[in-house]
Amino acid sequence: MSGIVIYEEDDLMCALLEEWLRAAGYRVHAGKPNGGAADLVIVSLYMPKHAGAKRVQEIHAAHPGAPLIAISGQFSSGLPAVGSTAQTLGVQQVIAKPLTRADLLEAVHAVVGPPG
Amino acid sequence: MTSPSHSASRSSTRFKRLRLGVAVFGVVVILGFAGSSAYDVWRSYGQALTATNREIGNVAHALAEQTAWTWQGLDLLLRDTADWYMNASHEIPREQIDAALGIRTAGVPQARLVTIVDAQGLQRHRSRGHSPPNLNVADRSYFIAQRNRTVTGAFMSEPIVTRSEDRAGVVLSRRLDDGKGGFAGVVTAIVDLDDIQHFYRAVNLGKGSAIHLLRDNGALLVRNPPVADVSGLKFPALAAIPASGATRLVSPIDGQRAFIAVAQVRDTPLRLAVTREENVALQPWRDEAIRLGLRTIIVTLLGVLAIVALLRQLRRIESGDSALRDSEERYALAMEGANEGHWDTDMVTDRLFLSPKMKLLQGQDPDSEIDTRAAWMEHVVIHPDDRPRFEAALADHFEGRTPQYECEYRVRQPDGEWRWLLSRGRCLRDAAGKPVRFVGSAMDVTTQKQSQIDKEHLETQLRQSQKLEAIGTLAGGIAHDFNNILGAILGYGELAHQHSAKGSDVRRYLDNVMHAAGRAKALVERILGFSRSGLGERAPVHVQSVVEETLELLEASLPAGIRLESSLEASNAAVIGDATQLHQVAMNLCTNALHSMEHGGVLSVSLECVELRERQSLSRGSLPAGSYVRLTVADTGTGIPPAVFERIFDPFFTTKRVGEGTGLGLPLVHGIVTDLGGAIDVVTKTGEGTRFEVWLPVSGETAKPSVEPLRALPHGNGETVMIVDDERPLVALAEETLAELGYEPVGFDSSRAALQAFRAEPQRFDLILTDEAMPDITGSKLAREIRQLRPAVPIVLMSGHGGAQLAKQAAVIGVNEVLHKPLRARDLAEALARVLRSAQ
Repeated sequence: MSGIVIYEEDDLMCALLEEWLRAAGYRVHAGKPNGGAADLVIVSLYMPKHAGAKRVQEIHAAHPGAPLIAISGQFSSGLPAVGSTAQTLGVQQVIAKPLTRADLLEAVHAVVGPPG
Repeated sequence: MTSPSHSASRSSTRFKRLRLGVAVFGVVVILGFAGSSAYDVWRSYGQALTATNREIGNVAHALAEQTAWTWQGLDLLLRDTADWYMNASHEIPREQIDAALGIRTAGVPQARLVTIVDAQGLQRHRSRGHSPPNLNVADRSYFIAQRNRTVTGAFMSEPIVTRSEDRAGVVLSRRLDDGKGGFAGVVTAIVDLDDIQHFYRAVNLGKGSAIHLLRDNGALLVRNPPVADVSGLKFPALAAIPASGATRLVSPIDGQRAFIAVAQVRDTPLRLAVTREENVALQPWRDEAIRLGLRTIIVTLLGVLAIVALLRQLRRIESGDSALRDSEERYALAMEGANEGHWDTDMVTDRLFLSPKMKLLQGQDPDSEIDTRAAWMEHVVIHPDDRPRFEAALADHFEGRTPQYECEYRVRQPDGEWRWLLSRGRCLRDAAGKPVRFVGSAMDVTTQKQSQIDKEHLETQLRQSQKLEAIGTLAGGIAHDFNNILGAILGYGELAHQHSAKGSDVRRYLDNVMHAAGRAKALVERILGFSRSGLGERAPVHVQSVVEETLELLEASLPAGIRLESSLEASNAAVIGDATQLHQVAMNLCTNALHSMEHGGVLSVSLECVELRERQSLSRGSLPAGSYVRLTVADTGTGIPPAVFERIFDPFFTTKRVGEGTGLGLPLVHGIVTDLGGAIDVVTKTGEGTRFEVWLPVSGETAKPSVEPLRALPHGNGETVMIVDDERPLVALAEETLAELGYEPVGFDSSRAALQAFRAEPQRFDLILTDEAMPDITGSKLAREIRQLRPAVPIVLMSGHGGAQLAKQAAVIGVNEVLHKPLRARDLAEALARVLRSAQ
């Protein structure tokens, strides 16, 4: 169980995500991520339309085999979690920011199952 | 138009014929002249002959006559003398007979000597001189003839040398009778041939002429000019010539060819012949002929020269003509190649030359007659927008402000189209500087102009889209940061909320924090939604259903006075995109249209499939060829003023009063449409209305989606929701929807009734869903009242006219959310779920 890796530049958001996940029982990598094994990678995308796919590729390269959840403030709020956007980006789920705890936990649960 | 080569060959034939004609004419004239000269020569020859013959004939006859008279005189003298001698001489002494003879013969000078000869032949008496004593003439023919009576009357001897004087002469004799019929001698008259010669010499017949006195037998008596020895010469040939007419012969005397006229001296054996040498006779004719010949030759030569010169001139003209034609052809081809028309105006007489190409360019028949400026003005239609510029350009040039005239303007063609012409020219001025002639050329520059216009258009669009891009990027960046911040606020707020005691102040404070953050989120969503950096869903969307849904919602809340007309014929066409976004596009356009028709009108919405065969440029963007679906939203409202037109897609640009619109609708539409690979076309006329055309690329077909199962939407848990809307149908619709979503709806179509109900049981309701625009008590007023009764109850306000004003008001009142009508089930479900969740 290598845990969840989070790529989030905004420190407040990052702390929030960690808080949520840990509270739910998931193991979360601390500090700046730098590749390696992971059960799940959560990546925050800036300019997902222009640079999203590239960023996702980088993450895939850094964490081969790990599923991805992409979150972004530039996703429209009505975006379905699993759909063409997720497919186009090459991730398992997409969530628009600001996201609720429920949104996040639902997505994580869908990808890696319950904690533990 | 006849081809140049055709007219050239026609003209060269004409020239050949002309040359031939000239040559033939020249030859005919020369021949005629020569012929007439020849005729003249021939005639003058005849005349010369006639004249010669007449002259010598006359002379011959005159001399013959004169000789006859002389002969007669001599004969008379002889007879008279004979008579006198025979009869009267007895009375005269012998010694005086000579003198008497002399006296008698004095009056007849032709007789040189008259003698009396006795029967024995002795000369007895003579008129001059003294007879030599023994002069005997008995052997002379003239004596013998008389003695023997071989003749009667006078006898003429042949030319002899007289013994009397020893001179050449001819002797005439008469018989003397002795009274008894016996021969008594003769009386003779001697005609001195020299005398005759002298006489003939005096007759000046000119050079080459000769007078001959001959006997019948051809004996030549006298000739002038004289021959050496006349005696004994006989020319029977001469004598044989008949006395009539003149002939030509070779003179036996001098061997020359001569004309001869012979006259018989009547009553005598004498003949008179006048000859004139042919050379001499014909000399004048010859001279004349030579003169004539020379003249003819000279004139002929001149004529030939003239003809030759004329022919050469013709040839030169022809070549000049062909050179001219070549030059014209070259000019015509040059104009043709350059595709330019040409004009030439005489400004003094106002006459105008237009080349056929020019007429074509200006929309006239190339064969039409436009040859004055006035006619030109009448027939050529210049675009009214270009007219002022056109006239100004002309004036500038004519008045000397510009060195060259150049102007681009539109001209109407027979098919009604406008074509751009580029016209260039220059005027020629007289000494005073006044324009007298104006020439120039023009060419069709429609394609170039169009390209130029297109280019400018594209540049504007590019600038525009760059601007939008920049704004979009900015907005995207802001959205990103903002959403992070909001995420943190909402997230931690939620956590804090969880850990706070129900009913505590802290919980209430946190509630408000959550509310605020929620509003901020909605605000960011709305304001920055237009930025194209947002990512939407990409899946085949059944476009017709989306539009149908939009129209359904619209129909439910159509303002009074507005009629909705729709024509949806896209069947199952699919557009790759996001259904929500498409819905936003349709909705925004329709609400804009409704806003422009404050006093009623017609809203027309149509949807159809269109094939573009080639690239098309629209007012916003251009489309490559392909299949498209076109959504047209047209209104009969106020239209968009030109000043505003350029900026309608600018983010935050709005003409509405502050609080009435954020100016985000169209930028959002534009962003979505462009994202989906489409384009927008806008046509507006102030006072008549506006038409928006949204083109979206079609990608195959898709099945009409079943109504989105409400299962997919967030459901409620039996919460009681109060629904307030003054429109009964909307209340019913909302009740139905909410019931399906798992709520417990309670509807009121009167805000007053709703308030009353709430007052009666404040705790009954878990959420209030109310419309804003209601008579009597508005939604916001209702919300305020309810808030006072129960501060924490979640209230959702619905409004057809959003805006900062309402949002502010709502914020003050403490409304949880403001939803924009028309609502979709999804919006409602999510909003309710959201609000209820945050209320926990």
